[in-house]
Amino acid sequence: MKRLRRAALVTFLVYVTLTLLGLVPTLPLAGSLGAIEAPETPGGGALLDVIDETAPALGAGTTAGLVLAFVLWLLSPLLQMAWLGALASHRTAGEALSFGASRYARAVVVSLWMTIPLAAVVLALVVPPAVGHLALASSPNERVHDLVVLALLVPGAFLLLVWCAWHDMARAALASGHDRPRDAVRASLGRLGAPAVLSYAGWTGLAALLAVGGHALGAWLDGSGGFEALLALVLLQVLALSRVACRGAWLGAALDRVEP
Amino acid sequence: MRRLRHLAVGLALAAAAPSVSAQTPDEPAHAYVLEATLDPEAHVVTGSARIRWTNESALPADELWLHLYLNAFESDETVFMRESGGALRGDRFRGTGGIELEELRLAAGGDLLAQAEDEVIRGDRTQLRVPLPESVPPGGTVDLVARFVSRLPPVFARSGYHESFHMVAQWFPKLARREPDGTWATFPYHGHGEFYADFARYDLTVTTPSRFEVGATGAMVEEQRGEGTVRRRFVADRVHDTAFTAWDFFREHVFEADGVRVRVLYPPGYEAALARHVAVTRAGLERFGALFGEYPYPVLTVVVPPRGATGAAGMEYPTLFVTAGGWMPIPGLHAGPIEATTAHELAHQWFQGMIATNEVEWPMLDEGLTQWATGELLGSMVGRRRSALDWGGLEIDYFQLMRWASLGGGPPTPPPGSPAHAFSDRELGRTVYARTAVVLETVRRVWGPDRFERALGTYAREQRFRHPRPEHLFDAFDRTYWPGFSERVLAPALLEGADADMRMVSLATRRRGEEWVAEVEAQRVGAVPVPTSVELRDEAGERVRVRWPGDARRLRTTHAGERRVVAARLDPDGHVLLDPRVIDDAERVRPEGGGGLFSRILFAAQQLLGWAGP
Repeated sequence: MKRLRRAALVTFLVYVTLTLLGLVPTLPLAGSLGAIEAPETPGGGALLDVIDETAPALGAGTTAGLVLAFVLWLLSPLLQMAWLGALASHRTAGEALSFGASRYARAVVVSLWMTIPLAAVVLALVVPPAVGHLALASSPNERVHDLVVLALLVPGAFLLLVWCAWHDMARAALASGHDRPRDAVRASLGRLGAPAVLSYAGWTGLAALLAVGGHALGAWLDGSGGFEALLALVLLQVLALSRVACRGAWLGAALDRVEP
Repeated sequence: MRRLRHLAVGLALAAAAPSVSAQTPDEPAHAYVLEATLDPEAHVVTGSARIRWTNESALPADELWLHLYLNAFESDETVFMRESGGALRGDRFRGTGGIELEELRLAAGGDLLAQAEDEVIRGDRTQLRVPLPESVPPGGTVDLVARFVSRLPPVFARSGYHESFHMVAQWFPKLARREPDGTWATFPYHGHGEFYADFARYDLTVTTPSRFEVGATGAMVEEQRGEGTVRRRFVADRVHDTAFTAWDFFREHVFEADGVRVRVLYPPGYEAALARHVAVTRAGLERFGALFGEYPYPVLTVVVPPRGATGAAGMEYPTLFVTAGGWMPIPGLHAGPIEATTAHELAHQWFQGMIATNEVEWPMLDEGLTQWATGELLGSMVGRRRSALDWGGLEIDYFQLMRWASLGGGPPTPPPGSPAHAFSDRELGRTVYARTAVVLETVRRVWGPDRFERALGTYAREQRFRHPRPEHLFDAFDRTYWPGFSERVLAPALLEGADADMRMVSLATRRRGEEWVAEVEAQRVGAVPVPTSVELRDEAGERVRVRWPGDARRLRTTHAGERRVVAARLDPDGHVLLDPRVIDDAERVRPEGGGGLFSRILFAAQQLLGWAGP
């Protein structure tokens, strides 16, 4: 948490970046939905009509969101390295961004190295369920078939979780002294243990919980009145910032584990 | 078939011996005695039939028409395949199937195959015209004997097999129905609409390997176990078809509901879904019995098909239906395959099973009425407003879903009262099923449930074991509502495809001394004259309603009060389901809300982008 306090400004900037990008699909979609004066019809009649009415805006919003997500994905190594740089040592926002830019290419190479274990993870995700499916294909008990296939997905899903933690730790290693991507990947593998995976799972789970909680809170508050609308906006943005902070806390924990 | 015709021509000429007789009072007018032996490895049914037919028309019959519907699957040239493009309900057909008639003769002797015409429509052998050596006078009967081999296709469009599961439907030579005026109501096997036949006694004996469980139309009256085989006999009176299913993995659950012995055949692992099928069937027998007259047969068989056999799913036969859905019910999803399909197929026991309309000519009379009954049953079980979906505050009414499906955009379709082959697969669902249900539910909601249930109940009871047409339905409504009701409401909606579109035009408010005056204008665009009301809401939340008679195309009303009216809406109770757009039924003085919506969309966008971010 000490690291997170140190990098509070960069963490906030990450939140601001997500917010600004999020506004691009939000503004037209909210405008088009808000313009509909849907009456409250028992049994959801108006809701169904609203789906029809907003389908074009929703489609455009989804496309815009996907394009932005792609742009963000391309920017992600820079932002993550800047964030890790700020978490690793005292840096101003400008210095952190400069650090991020200087590590961009190496962060990408780290991801490329990580595609090797990722291939194994994908195999673990695909092969056991496929074998289970083939073994039980002629079984008349579909419930047993489905549950076995589902259970056989669990090891692969667990390995994916481990891989995600490893990937973040490899980039953290890059920010904490390992200049060569291959060394960063190796060094982080050496520090990858149950505590690291549990820490990743804990922070990521908390972030997901905040996201789900935010959606539930938004639905509950409704926000059709002036004060309620403001309250909804403030509370949801606090949750959005908290979610970013969870991610920052994990990256800080990753640095703790990989620092020499 | 043509080869057989040439071979047997001489015999046929010699067989012009007397072969018809008068029907005796204790015999049913129509009867089938069928023997079927299933070879589950080859997916072939070897069968024989003794068929008694009585000429109930006013004119002598010189010929008979038989339906050989399994031949729809013998090539790509059949009417069924050409119309459907080899796909039905999302399933694509791969394989072949068909029925070969090896013998058809008068019971008294005399081959009938030689003169029979089997390709009435080019490329389609689903109908067989059989000239008789001697006319059957009105009231006279004729007894036929047939032997046949039915090759089942991979399960598709109701019939066929999937591994060792077999659904044996539309599988035997079956007589078309002769109308009272002497015309034969015969048609090729279309993708949509398969039933229209006389009520008859069906006596079916099925032989399968002994490990197979069998479900069939009628009550099982006999079971004989032989060496490696089992022979089961099922008898049903006053039904118009028979079908059976056989599978070596069926589980069986039997219960009694409303005096009916219900037998559910389901795949292993489906216990959770079974509970839902049982609950809907139990509630349905009671509810439909109260609405349309009690279920008259002693047995009902509910078949839950395995996953690979969805081509057999969602299909009704007398005293037996095939439902749908997987092993895991989704809580709150009432419009899903488990509950809605079971409710729908059960309702078919009345609409088409007992009230045996011509499904090809008037599909709305069975599918449309059945679709209404489906929503009615789900509504009676869980409440109408959540009868499609009930997920923690998100409630969808089954009939609102039907309104949206049938009227919410999409290209125009023929009216619901059109014949089945006028529709594509998708159009049939939107129009014949959904729109008919929406028309009926609009009538029910606008003029009240009691009168509606009386009208539909009268129709169902009066037409039980008959073959009604739309005018019989309209007549029942005219007698219950008022003379001309159908002409004003039902006929435009069902036969012409009219709707009850209405919209709010304006809401204006102004000060007049100490009080506020609100002027509301609304317009009716649709041709179906449905009365409704407009509800005005003032700034304190007080509401007042103004009636809008059905015959007034335009509504202009003024309301004066101490407080300003801030919103007005048409049809506040959501009764007029025939209104294609609900969202143009409201008007506000100033827009409300929007802020909360913005916050929620932004939050969602932030979360989604967060997964792609650093």
